[in-house]
Amino acid sequence: MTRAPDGRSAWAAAAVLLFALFALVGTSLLFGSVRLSPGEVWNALFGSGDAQAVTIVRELRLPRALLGALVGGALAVSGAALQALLGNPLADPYLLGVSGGAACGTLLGALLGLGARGAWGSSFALPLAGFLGALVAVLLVGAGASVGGRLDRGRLLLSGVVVNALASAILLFLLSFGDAAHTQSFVFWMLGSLAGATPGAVKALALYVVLGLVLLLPLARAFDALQLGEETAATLGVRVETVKRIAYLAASLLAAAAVATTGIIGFVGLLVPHAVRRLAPGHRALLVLSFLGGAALLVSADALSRSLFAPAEISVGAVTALLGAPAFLILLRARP
Amino acid sequence: MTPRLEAHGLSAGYGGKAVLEGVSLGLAPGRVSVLLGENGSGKSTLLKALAGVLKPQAGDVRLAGRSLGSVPRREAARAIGYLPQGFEPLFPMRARDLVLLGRTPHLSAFGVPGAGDRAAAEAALLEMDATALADADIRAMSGGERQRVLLARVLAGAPDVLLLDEPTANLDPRHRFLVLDAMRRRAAAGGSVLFSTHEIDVASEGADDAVLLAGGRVLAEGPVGTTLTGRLLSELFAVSACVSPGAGGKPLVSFGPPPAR
Amino acid sequence: MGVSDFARDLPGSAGKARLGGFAPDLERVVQLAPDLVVVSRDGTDRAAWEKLTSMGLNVLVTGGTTLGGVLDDVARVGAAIGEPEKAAALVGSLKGRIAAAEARGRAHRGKTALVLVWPDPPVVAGRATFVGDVLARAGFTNAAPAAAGDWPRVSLETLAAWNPDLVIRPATAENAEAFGAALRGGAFRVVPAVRDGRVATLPGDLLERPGPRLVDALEALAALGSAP
Repeated sequence: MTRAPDGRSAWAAAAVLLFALFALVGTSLLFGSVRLSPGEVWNALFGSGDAQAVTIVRELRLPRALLGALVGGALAVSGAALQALLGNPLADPYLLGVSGGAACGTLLGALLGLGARGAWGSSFALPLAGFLGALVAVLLVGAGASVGGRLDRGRLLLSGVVVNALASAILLFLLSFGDAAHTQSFVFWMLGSLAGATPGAVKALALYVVLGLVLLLPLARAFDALQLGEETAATLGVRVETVKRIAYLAASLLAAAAVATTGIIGFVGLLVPHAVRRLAPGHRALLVLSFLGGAALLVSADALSRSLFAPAEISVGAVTALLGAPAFLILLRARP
Repeated sequence: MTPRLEAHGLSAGYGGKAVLEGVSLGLAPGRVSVLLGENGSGKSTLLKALAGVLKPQAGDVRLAGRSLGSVPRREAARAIGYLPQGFEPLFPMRARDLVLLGRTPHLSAFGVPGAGDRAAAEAALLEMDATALADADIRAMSGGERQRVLLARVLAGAPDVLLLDEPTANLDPRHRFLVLDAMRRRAAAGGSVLFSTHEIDVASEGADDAVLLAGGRVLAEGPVGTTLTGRLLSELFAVSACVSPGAGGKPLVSFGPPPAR
Repeated sequence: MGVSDFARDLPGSAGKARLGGFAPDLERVVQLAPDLVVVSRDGTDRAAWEKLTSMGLNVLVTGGTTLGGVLDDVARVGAAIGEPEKAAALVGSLKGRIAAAEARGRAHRGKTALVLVWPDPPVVAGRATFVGDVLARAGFTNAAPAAAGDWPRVSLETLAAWNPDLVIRPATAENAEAFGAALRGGAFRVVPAVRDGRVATLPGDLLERPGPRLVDALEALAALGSAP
């Protein structure tokens, strides 16, 4: 009979993923268009040596690798939480329109003058605007999928498709409404790229990711109980409504912060929880492994986006979609 | 003895529609009660309302004399164990971890299960003859195996009141007796048990009392000797029912086709 | 007669009907009942001009990807409007100016330059584009290798690795804010030319429109670094 994951396998997987993540970030620091020796990179990391090398390592390579790790981790954890909440292994912030809603909120915030992308203050402000957009999307998906006060798991994806379409329409409207100067910047941003990583953006995103994780991790046992169904979880003393509200807020915040910083990067929230689930005996392990796995996946995908057609770069969102869309189809067909 | 869990004039249902109307009954300590009725008569709805999952539209559910709505959530969760019907697991989970979820109301807010919780889970698995399944994925199990693991989850919580919706569904005869024995042991230790079933032999074998539910109302309630009668069962199920005294004073029921009009 | 949004600042365009940009307003085009429609292949939605052709309008598609191709386009437009002599004269004078500018640009031999068409993410003009052609004729070696493609999107670090002697920035109303924000960000200083202020700004309407004004851009580029 199939053995299910236990605690030991989860710890082993966490150790492997953590090591892989360090190795990937390290590799990202070592390699780039400008050839730097490991020693130069090491010195530059601590601010000594050639000024150009310091700028390359500390302002370009390091922020980009860290931003990739944070965005990948945030999207994967958001997906894992949404899957637990909605009882649907196909839930993903991108597929449910949460990312689209966040993009609308971010764009609207930028048009209303919360700041140009890349400016320091806007790194903190724009995710909040995106968060409001993501929340509206979550509420709409919920309203579309609820039947008699309950979320119908089958309708959920359909509802997500509709909300996604609505978000795309609003984005197009906002883009045609905005002037050409904004339009071009935002088109590049929407495609999803880590190229604009700045130390300020990394700090802002780290703050939101920590906040999201602090909200979600204590709910891990409640998520476990929710796997028995909401009613049964309630009879086990779980405050189902409170748990759901906090978790929706946190999952939306994580997705929105990622989207506001790097644009729409799809399928990470779908792929990663699915890949690590077979290693995680419960949601505590699942959330931790999802974060590490998402971080490792996006740092790798970004390396691909830089090197596939070097020196030209492609959108990292295109890479994750190329990996994710077929996986999604396989998952869809594998469902009982 | 005063009942531990009781319903007073309970109406409950879904949306605006009432499935149960004016149901009153009590579950006394030390007794195993069976809930009988046709499909759609409101058995599952009654169990949900008693478990606090479904809010009453009218009337009241009381736990040890207090209205269930005013009992703190964790206290109610420790007192009442509820097994719903039908569970389709979506994600992989070890049987042992699922059973451990039954200890949730005994843990501190964000607590980690301790040695005592693990011991309770292992004991419940053993009681349900599911120790060999402990490391297996619940999604890979047969219906009967999964049912035993789900029952072990309820037993692991050591509740005073057990509300079980078709606990013997999918079980082979040996495991059916295992479940009846477990219910009997809980009652003997002072617990109260209410379970629903469509298997009349399980009802007569396992229960001290019976609640007969027809169209959302209680048709009859009381010891099986007075409730599992040919007249009441014929009326309840609209078939011809023949009851004879069996071994140990338990009624022996056999059904025949509905009497010709 | 009408003009596109991209031609709004051309002499003679004032007061003319504006017909839209990449996706022109077809109804207004039809309403004007023009004898000739001139469209730029890369600057116009293909479906739009194919539609106009299928409606029987006389559509001329310009698409020079080199300065020579642009001169051919001028001659074709001249023929289409029945003024081949005027066009030939214009082409002749443009050729003369090009030759003079090329001669002047020889002073730049051995210098590398990069035309940064968008700052964030950095997008540059490749060698096989009309912008790349102008850059080469002005005497510069394009710092972007041919393998990089036509309009590659690259990282700041790649710009630093290419290390151009000069960065050329086409200035337009559209990119002013983006350039301002990107250059203020600070990370651009990894590109030595930017760090040391070796940045030349050129009106984008000259450099980024494949028409006769490219020769103005060429002259401006060729004159860079020499006394006015």
